[in-house]
Amino acid sequence: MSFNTLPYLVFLPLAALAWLAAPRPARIWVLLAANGVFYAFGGTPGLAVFLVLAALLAWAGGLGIRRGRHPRAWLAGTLLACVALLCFFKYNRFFPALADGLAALGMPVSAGGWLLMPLGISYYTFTAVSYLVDVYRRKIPAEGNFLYLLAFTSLFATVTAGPICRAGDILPQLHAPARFEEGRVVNGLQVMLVGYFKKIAVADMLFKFVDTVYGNLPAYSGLTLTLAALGYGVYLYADFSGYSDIARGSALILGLRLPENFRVPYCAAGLGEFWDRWHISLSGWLKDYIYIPLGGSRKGAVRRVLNVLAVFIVSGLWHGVGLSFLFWGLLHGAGRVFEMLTGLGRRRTAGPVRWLHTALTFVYVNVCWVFFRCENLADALYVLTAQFAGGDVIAQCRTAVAAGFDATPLLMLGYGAFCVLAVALLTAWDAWRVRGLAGGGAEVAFARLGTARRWVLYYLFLAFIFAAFLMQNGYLVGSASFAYGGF
Amino acid sequence: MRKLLGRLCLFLLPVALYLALFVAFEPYNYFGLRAGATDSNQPIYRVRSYLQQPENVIFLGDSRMAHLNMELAGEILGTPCSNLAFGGASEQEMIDLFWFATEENPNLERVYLEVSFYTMNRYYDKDRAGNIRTVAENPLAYMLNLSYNLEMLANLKNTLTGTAPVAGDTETATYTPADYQDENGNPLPYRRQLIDYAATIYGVVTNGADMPADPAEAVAYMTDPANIELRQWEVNTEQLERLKEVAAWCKENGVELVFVAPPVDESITACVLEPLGIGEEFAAVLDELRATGTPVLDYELGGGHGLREDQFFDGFHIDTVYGLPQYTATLLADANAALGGNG
Repeated sequence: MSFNTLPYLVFLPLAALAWLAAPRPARIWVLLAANGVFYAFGGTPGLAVFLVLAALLAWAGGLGIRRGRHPRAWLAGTLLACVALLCFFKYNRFFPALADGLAALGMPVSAGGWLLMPLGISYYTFTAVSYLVDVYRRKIPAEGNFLYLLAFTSLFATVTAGPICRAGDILPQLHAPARFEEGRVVNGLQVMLVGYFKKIAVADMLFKFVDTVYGNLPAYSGLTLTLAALGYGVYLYADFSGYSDIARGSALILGLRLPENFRVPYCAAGLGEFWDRWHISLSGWLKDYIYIPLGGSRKGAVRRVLNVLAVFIVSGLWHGVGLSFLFWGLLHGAGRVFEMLTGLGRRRTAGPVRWLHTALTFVYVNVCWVFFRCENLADALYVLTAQFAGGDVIAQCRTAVAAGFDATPLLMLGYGAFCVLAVALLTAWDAWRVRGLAGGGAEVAFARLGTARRWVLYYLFLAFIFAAFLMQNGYLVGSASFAYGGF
Repeated sequence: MRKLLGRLCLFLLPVALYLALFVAFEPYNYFGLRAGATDSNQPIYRVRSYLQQPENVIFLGDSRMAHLNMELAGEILGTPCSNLAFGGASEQEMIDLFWFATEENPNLERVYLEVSFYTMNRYYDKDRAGNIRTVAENPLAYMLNLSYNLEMLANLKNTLTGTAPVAGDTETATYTPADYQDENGNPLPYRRQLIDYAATIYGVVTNGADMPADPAEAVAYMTDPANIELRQWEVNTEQLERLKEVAAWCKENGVELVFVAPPVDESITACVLEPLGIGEEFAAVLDELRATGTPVLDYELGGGHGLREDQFFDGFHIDTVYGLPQYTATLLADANAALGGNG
């Protein structure tokens, strides 16, 4: 089951009602059942055994670290097991004999011939790792009840694509009494509304053009490639931040507060600030569990540079298998190192200087996205260089839109206009949010509006969502899957 | 909680109002709330009608079967009929709808199923029956479909402006001597419209054809045997096997089945079927179908339909006023005879 399906809109209120209405001893079972239903309909249910295994490793490891005689050994052993589990599924294509053997035993395989990745494995293994390390560092107590740790690891709001939550934030909330609070539910619905707008009206609409161009690069050149590259940057932001909003909103309805995962990242002046605003939960995880344990900035400048590069290499490899992901990570690492060495990252800028810095950061990040999106380095280099070649942008765009959005010329024009308006609305919304960053997410932004304006905005988002859903024949065709669910 | 639910209802009110508007102006009388449909030839209307009232005699095919007058057919056969044919249907879609009809109506008595060189082309593989059926059975799928929403808005606009919708199912014309001459007054081998249509069909069953604009030259191009290498037509063996399964099922379940290869004008035979060698291969397909013991009414290769050239609106479609009633009667009489007079 995915967030952007009609069954989810039936599942969520039922799960919330059951969670809130259940007597306290039974609540955790209700949540586990809801998580199980969500997972069962989300991918290959048989692979849930690995989610349970990761939770079991974390639980046993946590208890061993706290109560055992050799906490370090417990930490090392369970960490290794979790990381090995992740690496096995991510990189089994490099071990075809082993993968073939397991496939013969009935493990599901992907279209490419390697073992299918269990839904959310990249996220729940990182969640398990953060729990183990936090227990070892004595930041949090070890969870004695396996059911709570399993419920936390498998939480339906986060299992698909994060946010990667910290046990110290979520476990206490699971243990606390659950109460229905109308204001909190309204906030949850507000955040979800923005999430669905980003996903359905912006990301899914842009996807039709962007994916068509990237799927047949030699047919395109010039400005079309520029539009596709920029479109991909906006698509990825809208898709992933939309997912995160829906996840946060869903959790709020249950009474659980998840961390924000995006804070208007394209307003960042500098890569350091960008990574403080983009996929915040992953950036924070990499900082706390890779960068700082490696020494962070405390072991001299050279070591600091190496630590930064190590973080971005891990980030690249976490996102995917392939040189293009590694190169993407290295590009960000190199950019970040450049900022550190020149002091750009430390200086706070304002006015036109900040705007220029923001624009340059936006361009650099989008150049990096080209490597992120392309299947190989050659394609990425083609996109970056062929942008400066000629090409009939109108004819090419018409071809790309026709391939991804099969319709009459008038409707294709309407598609283009719709995308422009939807991106404009998203930009305006983010610009409004920038003014209240310290306050938090979409619900804070809504709270700062008067009732009339708030309702106008509700209806505007709803109109865009409904129109986009119709334009995509969303009911019959189904909505596109979330990009980060594939990592 | 009550306040929250109230606010949610208020929030969803515009969606509810829009859907109500859709129901009021939707073009195919899906909900049975209005009289008639804007265009009853559309597959959604036909499948929906069949779901609401499945008749025991059905017609399956593309536009050549879709235009048959079911009232006339009902009068001739003495029993109401359902027409599940629709324009552009592929053989796969026809067979899919056959199986749909058998699921919905266990009392099926007779099936007229089109088999044509055009639909039995392996390269003509449209597969929309599943979607059509989903839309026909699921009101939400219908209401949230882009095409139908656009047609609803067009219907609404016509209603508000008092414009009558354009009738889509009347193809009729009369011809003058000028229709049989080129721009310089030289006689053409066929009526100009028939040459244009043959060129269109030629373009569909070939790849890379460079059709001249001049009608006489176009005929020369199409009848040039050297152009056979441009042919993009192969027998769809998968659908041929499925047709045999249909025949076997009908035999086993006591359902009368007739395969119908609809009439084509001589221009199609001369410009498409013969020069590209399609006629010969398609004849073998019909022989295989005959071997199942099912009657095959071959008007496409075998003629025998008794229609004149001016009774064809184009190479495929019979004039709905001057030719179709005659053909309907011929088809049903021939089918009766082929089935042993059980009609």
